[in-house]
Amino acid sequence: MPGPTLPARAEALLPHAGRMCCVDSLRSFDEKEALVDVFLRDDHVLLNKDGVLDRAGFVELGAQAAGAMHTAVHAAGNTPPGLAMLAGIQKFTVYADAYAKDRLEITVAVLGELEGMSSLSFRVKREGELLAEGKLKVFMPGPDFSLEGGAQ
Amino acid sequence: MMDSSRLPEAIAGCLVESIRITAQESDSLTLDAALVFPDDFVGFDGHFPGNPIVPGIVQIMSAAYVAAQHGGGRLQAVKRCKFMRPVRPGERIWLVVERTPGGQCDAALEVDGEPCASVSFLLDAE
Repeated sequence: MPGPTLPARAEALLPHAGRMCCVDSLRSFDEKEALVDVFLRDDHVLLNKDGVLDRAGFVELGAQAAGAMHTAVHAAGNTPPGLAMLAGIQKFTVYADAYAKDRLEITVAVLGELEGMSSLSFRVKREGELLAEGKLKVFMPGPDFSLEGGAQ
Repeated sequence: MMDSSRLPEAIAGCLVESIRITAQESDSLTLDAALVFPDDFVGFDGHFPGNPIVPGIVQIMSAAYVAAQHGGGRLQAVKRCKFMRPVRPGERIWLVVERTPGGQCDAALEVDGEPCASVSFLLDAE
């Protein structure tokens, strides 16, 4: 599908900026699934002093991957994306840690959409090894919604 | 200020005003804590430009940190989590978490008496 040229820089697709833009690039996408990657630089904001990714950080990687997908799909359809805000998390499980200098792949897949709420699954892998997975609920209120109303 | 090499930079700038045990039973422990994320907290750097709010995962990190103060453990799973209200710079988060010996934890986070998040999670045994 048309849209951003791939791979696309994630910061251009996300409302996040600076240190809190935690993923690098969108590698592929369609309306149902996307692949995003990140190289964990030594100064990545989600690493601790020992170079270990905080385990909750896997959720942020999934959420930002979902955000990049959301913007790309709307760009491909030439429609304004509006905001995509993390509203909930379910069945998140960590299987192994990630470390500084790891290159991670994050896949997100749409499970369903209902009344402005989208349910997605995400998986984080390192060279094919599944490190963590879970489900996200993302509030997508439409292009007229103000961030003042709430977001995570 | 939180002081642990286990913490990522994304939470290390949090001001912990208090952490205390409020109830201890044979099968559970309840802790509460007051946390503030100041204007210069790194989590506000680009989250979001012109409209800083505490990232949702930072609220989970905070709950796991407080729960681990007695019994240790690292985040292993989140059964469910719900975000209800954005948290702005300088707002005081009141966090109450109940922990069982197996590491199962249930946390409620509030600002000014208004729920901002709830999270049910599991800490590993370390």
